[in-house]
Amino acid sequence: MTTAEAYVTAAFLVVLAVVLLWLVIYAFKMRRLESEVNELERAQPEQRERVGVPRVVPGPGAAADTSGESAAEGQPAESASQPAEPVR
Amino acid sequence: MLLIGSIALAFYWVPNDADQGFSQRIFYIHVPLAFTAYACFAWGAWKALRLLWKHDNRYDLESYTAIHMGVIFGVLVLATGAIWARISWGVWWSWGEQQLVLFLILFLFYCAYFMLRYSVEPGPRQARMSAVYALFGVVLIPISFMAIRLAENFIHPVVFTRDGPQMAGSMFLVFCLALAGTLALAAALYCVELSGKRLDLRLKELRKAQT
Repeated sequence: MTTAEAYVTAAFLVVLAVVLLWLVIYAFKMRRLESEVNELERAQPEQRERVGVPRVVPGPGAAADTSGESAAEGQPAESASQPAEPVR
Repeated sequence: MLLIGSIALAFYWVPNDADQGFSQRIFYIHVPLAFTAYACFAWGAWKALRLLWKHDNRYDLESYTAIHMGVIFGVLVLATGAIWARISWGVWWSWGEQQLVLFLILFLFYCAYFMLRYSVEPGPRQARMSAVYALFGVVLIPISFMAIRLAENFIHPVVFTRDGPQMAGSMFLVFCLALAGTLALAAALYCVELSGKRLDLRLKELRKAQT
């Protein structure tokens, strides 16, 4: 390999190395975000119990029942699964 | 794929340059990287203008991400340019070259963007100040691009003149492929980084809402 060939290869390898470094950094960041989401998911039932919202488990016919009364009953369960403030 | 294909063509298909020989092949990565860095800075400035115009804070994150991408590509331009200078001129850097110095000034200007951004409390004020700074920086892009055309000593090669690209058709084709590849790479990295930053922001808001 001549000197010019070595330098040209080095230039292309520098580009590849920086792109790979960026990918590694972003993979770590994504892993951190994933663990934070998991942590929030775990913390949500605890918060629900602290606030005092009863946990409503939909019955087997809940999805098929479309009457107004059932829909009103299902509302607390739906709002309980939402965060305290809307997230944009 | 475009980038990998163009690199393979640059190594194995295009003919050697009559003046510079094999070392001219850095051109196929150095110049597309420089154009991509300019495009990222211009995109960041456009988003900054939209922020100031529409007062929509989502443009702040988009502008910041574009400038971050521009700085990453700027590092690569400086690194590949230094390697090319070492082969062609025998030095890693030449302070007498206006194109080099102006690109360095542009790069340092956008590095200072992050210093400004993180020295102000997050909020609308930070977004506005960053946007104004990003808009000032965009003025340096045409100056940096025109520097080699305005310079009296032509050590830095000039390929794109008013008469068109001064190279063979095969060379120009590979250059276009490499440019498309680097632009696609920048767009992909921009989208991934932007979605990561948005997710991070939403998580922070969710945490704040929970406590």
